[in-house]
Amino acid sequence: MALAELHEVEFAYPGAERTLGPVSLALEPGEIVALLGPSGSGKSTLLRAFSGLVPHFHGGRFAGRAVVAGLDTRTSRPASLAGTVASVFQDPEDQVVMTIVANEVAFGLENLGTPPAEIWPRVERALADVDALHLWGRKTVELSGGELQRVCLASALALEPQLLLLDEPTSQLDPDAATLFLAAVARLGATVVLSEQRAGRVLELATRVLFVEHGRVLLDAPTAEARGWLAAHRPRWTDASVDSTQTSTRPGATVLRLRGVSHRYLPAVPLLDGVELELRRGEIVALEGPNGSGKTTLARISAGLLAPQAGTIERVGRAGYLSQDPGRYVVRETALAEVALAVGGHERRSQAALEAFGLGHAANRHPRDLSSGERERLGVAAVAVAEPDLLVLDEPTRGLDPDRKAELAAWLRAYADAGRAVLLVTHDRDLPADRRIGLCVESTQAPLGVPVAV
Amino acid sequence: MPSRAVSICAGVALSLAAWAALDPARGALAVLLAAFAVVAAGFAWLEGGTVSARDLTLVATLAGLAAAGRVLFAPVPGVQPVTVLVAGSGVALGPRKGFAVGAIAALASNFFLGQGPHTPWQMLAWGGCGLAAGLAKPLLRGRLAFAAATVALGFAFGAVMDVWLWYGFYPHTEAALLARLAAGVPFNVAHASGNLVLALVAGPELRRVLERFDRRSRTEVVWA
Amino acid sequence: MSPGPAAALLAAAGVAALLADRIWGVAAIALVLLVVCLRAPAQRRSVYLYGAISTGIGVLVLSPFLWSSPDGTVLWQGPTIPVVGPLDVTTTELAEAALNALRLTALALAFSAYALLLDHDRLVAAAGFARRSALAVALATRLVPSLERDAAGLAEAVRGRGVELHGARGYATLLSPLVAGSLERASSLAEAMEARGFGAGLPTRAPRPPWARADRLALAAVPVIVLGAALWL
Ligand SMILES: Nc1ncnc2c1ncn2[C@@H]1O[C@H](COP(=O)(O)OP(=O)(O)OP(=O)(O)O)[C@@H](O)[C@H]1O
Ligand SMILES: Nc1ncnc2c1ncn2[C@@H]1O[C@H](COP(=O)(O)OP(=O)(O)OP(=O)(O)O)[C@@H](O)[C@H]1O
Ligand SMILES: [Mg+2]
Ligand SMILES: [Mg+2]
Repeated sequence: MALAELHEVEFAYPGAERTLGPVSLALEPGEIVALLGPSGSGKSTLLRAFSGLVPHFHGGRFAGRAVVAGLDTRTSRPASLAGTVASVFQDPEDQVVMTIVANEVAFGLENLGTPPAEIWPRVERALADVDALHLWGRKTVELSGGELQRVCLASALALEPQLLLLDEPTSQLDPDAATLFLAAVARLGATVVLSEQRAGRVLELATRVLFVEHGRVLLDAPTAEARGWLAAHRPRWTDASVDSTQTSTRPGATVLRLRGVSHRYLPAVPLLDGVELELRRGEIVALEGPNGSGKTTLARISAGLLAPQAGTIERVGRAGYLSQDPGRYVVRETALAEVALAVGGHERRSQAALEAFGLGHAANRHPRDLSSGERERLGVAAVAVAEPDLLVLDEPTRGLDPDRKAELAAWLRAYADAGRAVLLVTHDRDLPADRRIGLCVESTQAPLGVPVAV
Repeated sequence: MPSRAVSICAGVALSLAAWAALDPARGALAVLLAAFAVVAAGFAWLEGGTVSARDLTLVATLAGLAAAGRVLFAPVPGVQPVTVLVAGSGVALGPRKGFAVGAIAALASNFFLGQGPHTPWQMLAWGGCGLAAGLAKPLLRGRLAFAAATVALGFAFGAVMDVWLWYGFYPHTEAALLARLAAGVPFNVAHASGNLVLALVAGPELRRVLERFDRRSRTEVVWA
Repeated sequence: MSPGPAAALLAAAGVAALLADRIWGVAAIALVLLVVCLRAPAQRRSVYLYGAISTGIGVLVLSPFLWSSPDGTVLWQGPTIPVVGPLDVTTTELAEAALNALRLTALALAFSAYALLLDHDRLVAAAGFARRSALAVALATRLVPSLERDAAGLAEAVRGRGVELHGARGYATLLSPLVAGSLERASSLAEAMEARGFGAGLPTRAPRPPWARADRLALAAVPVIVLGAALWL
């Protein structure tokens, strides 16, 4: 018997057009389903329909029925489904309840009435599964983006659900952590629905693939068959490497030079130590490294938003910076006004910037009502519209589908070729760059915080 | 069960108040314990309600905003946005949540500004502001009425704070009471005028935002 | 020491100060609490110590003038003022004022020691009853520094787009997005809580570390301190 079933489900958010459906599908126990589709196609909404959050939490118009482990979401509230279903949402920043990491992972277990003696061992196992045991007693507000995502994943794994819903769970994880986590998911033995933009890794694991577009399921097939379909119809989803045939023009004058930059938050925990970095006009440089190695810290220093404790910075011209969680910092009430902020309200330039990132249709929507990927692109547009000499983007591919990513890559190339420099913080090897620089952490062979060419 | 907890706490508070009246020498202890008991009754009342995750995070967020505002305004004696925010929450969300916002804001802000024997009294007084505003909701629709109410609540808040200090630690004479009240006048006037300005400037916007979120929290589902 | 027993011990000390009638008894309690407070880092404790001592001094200085005791030796005789009555200071009045001032200071120091030395987060986490209120208090308390960070983040996001903010007016424009943003986040947080079974049924609690010997001793000391103060001090 199917573990979870959607039967002719249709859904519209309050005051909006239909976002989802009609969708019918059944999930068998033990299946690992990859949920693919462009940004804004309704992946997150589909996952919320399985957990009952759509429509109970969001309101709106709902037709059809969703049944999970015999419970109909029409009659069962999300909280009563919680033991059976566990979700990890797309934005880790917005789902942390407790102050201390261990208590955060225990929160769901306590709510569900887990016998007390089992709680700490399960917390420990879940944190170990995402290689985050070292974070046990840390404060959740001080974690880096990837560390926080690991904690959220552990919180869901600890519940040992029958149906695990993961919304872009590896978007901020370094490659090792992502591999480790996916292995833990496979071990779990639960039914898993996993939405992803970087399909490659997930297709190795998935037994079945769903491809969603405009709220409808275009493809529902076993992985082998799906690979063929994707190669034929959506080639970028199987081979995501963006072709960088355009080689960059010769690098020009220096825009940024860091010398001997050192910084740490806690005196006892070394972070950046004597970093040297130079960026020239026409260059795209990617900064990589494991979670918590100090990439965001270095990016903020480069953009002049954080003064390092030691070292010198020389920068020519203006710098623009997109933070790792741009959805958090929305200033205006419409997407257009948000972009216009940086250009003194210049509407035509703002509209053009929105179009460049495929958001022309969303100009008058509230930024909070956009999907996560749309919000990420809005953030890039809002920073790029002012055309700074140095553009620093922290994880800009978060939530971007392969087509959008290719567009972004092309746009960045043109931006750099026009005589400006780009510094990318990214785990995404598919995004082309002229140079890649890695930050290391203590345990690896290279000295700490010193960039090594990759 | 929680309603029993409410009545037990309230009963304890009443008997402590009686003790305070009968044995003025122990006034300090009796009124302090009575304040704790009333606050406990308030929280028990809160626990008794059907608090959804949405209500809980909304109340915590408003209290956190009020507390942060108070910390921000700390250098200006008397002036702070807590009373206006709490009264606004009471009007928009009702007496129960109004009380919660006020009491939690007082407790949370004192972690940054200093806990003291005034903490339970501030929790009680600001909780009371939210409760009163929630009960008087139909009267406080207009911008001016709301502003006037926050002025009155500002003075009432000051009076509560002055009177408990007097009863607990000063001689029980009229002269001492008057001296305490007089000493509080500058702060209370600053508090009330701050409330007036804030309520007039930000009141309508506050109401609009709060009511929007309250509406959104009562999600409507159309089952087709 | 675990936060629960430590808080109980401080409460007992505060109550004892209010119950004791002998001035040296109250003074001893205040002194002990002061020593406890001095264990906190210097820059944090100064606000607390200043507050605790200044309200005490206010009581000590003002109250002798505000009532007239028939007995005791008159130390100073002033004019008679309408409403307040005759201004004079007698030894009885002074002793009474000193007692009340010390009581208030001791009580304030007990609260200060709580705020300075106990990890509030752990105490709230340890609260076995009133779980929802405790959670609301913890969330609200956490929001204060996080709002500060968000304000910095917003300012940074705006500066990252090359827009400079000038003066109070410039920063005031961030106020509305800050408030709206935190309310939005409250709603996302609620969604996450619901998805993790908040309010589903009867919750359990993860076991906390068992009470050490010191904790049990502290709890045993609570009634002793209170009774001792009521009977002998
Ligand atoms: N709370 C909401 N209110 C109104 N509209 C919404 C809301 N959340 C999402 N939408 C809209 O519904 C559509 C589908 O959103 P959804 O988040 O499901 O997309 P998605 O496939 O997950 O996209 P992404 O890959 O960018 O996360 C989008 O057009 C989005 O703008
Ligand atoms: N405000 C802070 N206080 C204490 N520690 C912090 C603070 N901010 C960051 N850290 C710690 O510093 C380290 C580096 O953080 P940073 O955000 O630079 O990492 P990152 O390389 O960008 O990681 P990720 O890939 O996860 O985004 C992390 O271990 C983080 O926990
Ligand atoms: Mg999504
Ligand atoms: Mg980072």
